[in-house]
Amino acid sequence: MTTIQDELRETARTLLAEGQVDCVLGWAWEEELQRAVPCFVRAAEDAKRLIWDERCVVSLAPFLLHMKRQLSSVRTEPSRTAIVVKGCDARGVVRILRDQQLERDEVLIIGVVCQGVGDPDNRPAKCRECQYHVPPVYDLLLGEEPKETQTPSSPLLERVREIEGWDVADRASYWREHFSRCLRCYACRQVCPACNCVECIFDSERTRWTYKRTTAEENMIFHAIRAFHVAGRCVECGECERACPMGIPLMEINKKVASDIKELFSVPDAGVDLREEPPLVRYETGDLDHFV
Amino acid sequence: MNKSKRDWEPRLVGFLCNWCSYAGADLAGTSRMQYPPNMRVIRVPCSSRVRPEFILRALQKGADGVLVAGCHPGDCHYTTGNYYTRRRFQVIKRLLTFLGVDPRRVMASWISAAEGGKYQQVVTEFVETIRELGPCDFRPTNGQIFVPAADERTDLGVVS
Repeated sequence: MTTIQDELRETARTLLAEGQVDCVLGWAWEEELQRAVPCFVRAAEDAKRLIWDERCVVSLAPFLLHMKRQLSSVRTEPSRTAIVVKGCDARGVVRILRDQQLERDEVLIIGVVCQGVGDPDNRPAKCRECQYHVPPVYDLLLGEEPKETQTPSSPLLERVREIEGWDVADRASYWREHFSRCLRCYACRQVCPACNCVECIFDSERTRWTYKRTTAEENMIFHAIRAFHVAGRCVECGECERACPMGIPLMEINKKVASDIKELFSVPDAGVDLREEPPLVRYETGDLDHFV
Repeated sequence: MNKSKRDWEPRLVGFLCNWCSYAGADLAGTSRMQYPPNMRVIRVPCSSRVRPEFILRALQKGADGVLVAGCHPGDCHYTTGNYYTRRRFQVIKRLLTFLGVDPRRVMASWISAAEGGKYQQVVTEFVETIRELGPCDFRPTNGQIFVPAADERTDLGVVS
């Protein structure tokens, strides 16, 4: 029986050998680190390095962007990269394409059907409530589409509702506790497919929206601005929370904003449609007005 | 709270759109309408000029409340600016509430150039609400306003 991994290696080999793509971006196992790392395969014979299994946790979507930006100074001819995506990563690729950071024909999306990654007994939260086992957008699909699809309940959303029910003072101290630990390493920004500005406002030399010191208040400003900048565009891949070295529950904030936007403007999930218009860059004349 | 409530005066920031709300405030002034002097007005070309960063920064720099005011929907000088404000404002207000800022500290209002009376009423009520709430504890500890060291100062970073 051929596995998805075998299919993937064969597909990558063919694509590279036929010259359809210049590079295949997938995962490879790094023995020293004992984890799956991004792998840029440029030669057909290296396609056997690619892996696909539960160890492929990291989203590759942001690497597409990093690669493009690093190579843009040395490469002039158009290139095409194939990227291997899970359902959640595919939404990140849609985000980058929709934000016009890459052209559609620069990317070939190889979707894999995913039943969850990480430790099977302790899946990441996003996998437990996954609705996109099949990537919403792909050029090639590897694996069998599951027959039945059921919408799982969302413990994260329940958690958000629980926090909403608290007193304002309790919420303030809850977040103060979390934000006082933040190092402002900006890992949450670096791994985010929606944080694709060429120059981030937090790197701006002239207009500094936060001071460098990492007090709980400064950090809160950072996190509030970060959450708002990805509002309506966050694809809920959970990479920010995974990358956070201090274990700050960033997805609680992202989920709050996403659920608010869904409720206020009745829009579909972000990153499932290449033609989507992010909800905060458009308007309806009949939007709610009761808050004024 | 270090200062007693008696000494404390609410300090508010109002971002008023040039074409409607600022003119409305002007009308309130020229009509000699009385309202509390606690609001510092910042004139912006359009309510959609107000980035959420402005609101956050105002709160952190010592404002106890922030008002964003613009033209009524449909009357925007730039046709559509306030429709964007309306969407954004709802999201940022709910986000700030979630992060522990009292929702009454951040408000938006549509005030036209003819509504001097409405401006007077909005500011008066807002000041009263904030007076009841007390100082905003969003700024660094003990209500002290953080003054950055010289190397941290930038054109937007200077506290005057």
